[in-house]
Amino acid sequence: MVASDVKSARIQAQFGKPIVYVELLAAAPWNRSKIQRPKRFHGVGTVMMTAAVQLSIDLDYKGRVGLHSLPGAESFYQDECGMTPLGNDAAYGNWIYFEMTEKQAELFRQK
Amino acid sequence: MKGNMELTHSKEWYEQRIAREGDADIGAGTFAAFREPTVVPAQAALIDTRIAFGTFVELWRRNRGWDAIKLAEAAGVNPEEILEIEHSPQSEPEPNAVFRLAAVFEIPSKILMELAGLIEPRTPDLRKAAVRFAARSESVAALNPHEREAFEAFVSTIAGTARK
Repeated sequence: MVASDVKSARIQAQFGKPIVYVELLAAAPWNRSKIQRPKRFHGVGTVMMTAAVQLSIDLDYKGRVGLHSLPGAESFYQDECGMTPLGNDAAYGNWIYFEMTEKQAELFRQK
Repeated sequence: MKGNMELTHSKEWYEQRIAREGDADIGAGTFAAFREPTVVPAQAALIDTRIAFGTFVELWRRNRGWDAIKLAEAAGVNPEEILEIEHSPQSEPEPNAVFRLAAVFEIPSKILMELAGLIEPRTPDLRKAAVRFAARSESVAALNPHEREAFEAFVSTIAGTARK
């Protein structure tokens, strides 16, 4: 995972505030069931998103995280991570931009 | 950034979450996608720059206890322009409005034009500083002591950049 801390939130409730932006989040080929069965490690997405939220908390960004989901991964970020989709982003290959608010981060950590 | 990160969830928490993740696709991030022709990095960076610009404008006027109308009057621009700058990073601000705001703020217009994304970035730390000071702001009418401290620190950064 590659993350940066110089981007700003887009959701109105936290507009302009810094977020941890996930530049890259990917599972290794041996951890993808489409490539290797059984995959070696499970839950790579969960662990890395947990790390992103924790990084945001450590930076005093209160769990605010943003990312552009690869096509096909949207339901993981919306349903499992509880992030808010903010629509297709023309500046980023039309991928859907997701953001996690402070409240959503709290829920993510509790679930 | 701090050194070691502590992930304090229980084993049961991870087991439940990992079971729910299943075989879902989890890929995210444009790091690799910048190699694709459909992604426009400059346009992407521009949105973040304008969010920081809008936050700066809003905190500047709040630091004075001004509403958007009062700032618009002082700068000689439409109040709608101020609100658009503060809340619509997708919109390109009018160069004339940014120039007039720089005069009101008493900061070099080139720096504000850069923060507004109207000229090529020359000071890479400027936007980063703007985003960091926004971390300590809240959407209330007046700046609290923490916000004021953050605002003044950022203004000092601008002043320092202008002297270089």
